[in-house]
Amino acid sequence: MPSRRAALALLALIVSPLARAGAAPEETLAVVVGRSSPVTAVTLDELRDIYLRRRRVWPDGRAAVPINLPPDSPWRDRFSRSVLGRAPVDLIGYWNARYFEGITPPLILGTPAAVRAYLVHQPEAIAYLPRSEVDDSLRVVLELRE
Amino acid sequence: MAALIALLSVLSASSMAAGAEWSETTWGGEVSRGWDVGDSNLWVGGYLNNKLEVLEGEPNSFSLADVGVLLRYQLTPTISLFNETDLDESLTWEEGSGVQVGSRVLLLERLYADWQPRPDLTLRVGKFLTPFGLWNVVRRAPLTWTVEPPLIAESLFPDHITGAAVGFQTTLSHWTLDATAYGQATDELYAGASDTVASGAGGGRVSAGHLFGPAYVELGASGVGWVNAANGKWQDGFGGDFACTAGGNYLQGEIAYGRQLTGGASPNWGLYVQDAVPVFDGLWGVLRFEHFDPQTGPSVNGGLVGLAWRPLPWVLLKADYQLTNRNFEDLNRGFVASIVLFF
Repeated sequence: MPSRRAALALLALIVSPLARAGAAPEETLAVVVGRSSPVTAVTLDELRDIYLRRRRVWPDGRAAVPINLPPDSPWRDRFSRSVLGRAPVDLIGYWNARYFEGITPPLILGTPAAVRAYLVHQPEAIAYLPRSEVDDSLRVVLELRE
Repeated sequence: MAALIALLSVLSASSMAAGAEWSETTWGGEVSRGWDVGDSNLWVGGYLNNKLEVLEGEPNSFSLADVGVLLRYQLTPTISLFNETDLDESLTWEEGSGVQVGSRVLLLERLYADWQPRPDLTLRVGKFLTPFGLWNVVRRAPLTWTVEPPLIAESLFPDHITGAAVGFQTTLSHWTLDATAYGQATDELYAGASDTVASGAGGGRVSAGHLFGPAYVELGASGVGWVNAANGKWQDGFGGDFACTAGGNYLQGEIAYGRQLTGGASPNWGLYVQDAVPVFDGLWGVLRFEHFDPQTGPSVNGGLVGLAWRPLPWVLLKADYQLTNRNFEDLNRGFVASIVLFF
């Protein structure tokens, strides 16, 4: 019996990070820009290239500035898996290689309020937020549902 | 160097103060970010790499092996300049010889300009790392999982190209696609940074990446024809590579073949497969197997068992035990370790 308990405990240890990783709320994620941004829509493929910083300018030649939420945010994890195809931990090698070219990962803003404030003042920026955090100062350019 | 770091710290701090309206902003992350110097569009990164070697048949040594400074200046959103300068062999302690001040040679690793006329197109002019395989483009030890590179990354193709390249990068239907073509029609600019030098070259690389279930898989192929500056003879090289990431696990491998087109020398080829397995947060266990058939002498079969630990975004510690059937170039039986500080 103790060995069965130990096995269950071990299983719980193994499964719990997976459970946490999949614990992102089911609410729709909105990809947003500030109202002053000329961007009106992006495709999923364009969004991936912008967030991997493979595409660093908008079609009009202005810098594209992607914004991330913190690494421990469930929204960040969900965005990373659904748009970039990889969890943040699977991108460490990728960003190491980009650092070597002087290309750094997207800026990180700590809260949805900080993201909103930044987008209002920075028309070149793009970010993602849960739909309920989007207000009239932002324009939704793509919605990501589960 | 210290003065430069101090100056950049002050500029960086003043930049953060100027951005105080973003009081909720955090600039941290899971990888090192370098410094954006104020509003100057200048980015500075770099590393300091210390290496310990306890190898069979060689005196034990500890060296301040490598200091590298990376500079990127964004002239406009579509034009950037990049430079990497290294200070090599600055200070070494060797068993039996004591402390030795090395040649402290400043090496121009890379110097190029990038222009993006379209978001998916990059034109590059200058001196850059040869886009051949996976390892060569991140060949500096601080950014790899192991202290030493695999043997096939050392001599089958030129390390650098001094010339021009055109790169196409896009994502279509969730497939990430990259293609690069390059050429060199002159001697290498400041060739001291290279182990293998070309006086002329042309080549290309294509790669594709896609998510398959939980694993992101990338496949690539490279080819290069080049004139070896050491003997003036034409050589060519071909390679294939793959990388697979899933759950923090990094599996990668490369195979490469090189031959001299005149003079009757034997071809050489090699391969490696390496896996970095997450042990716990920030710690990876690393396994590598490699095989190399040099132009002369018997085959080399070797590998390593190691650890790579990143306790902080700017600190990386690596320790490897290398195994081989015979000592060859950088692959010697024994223990190697390194401490890397990013700045």
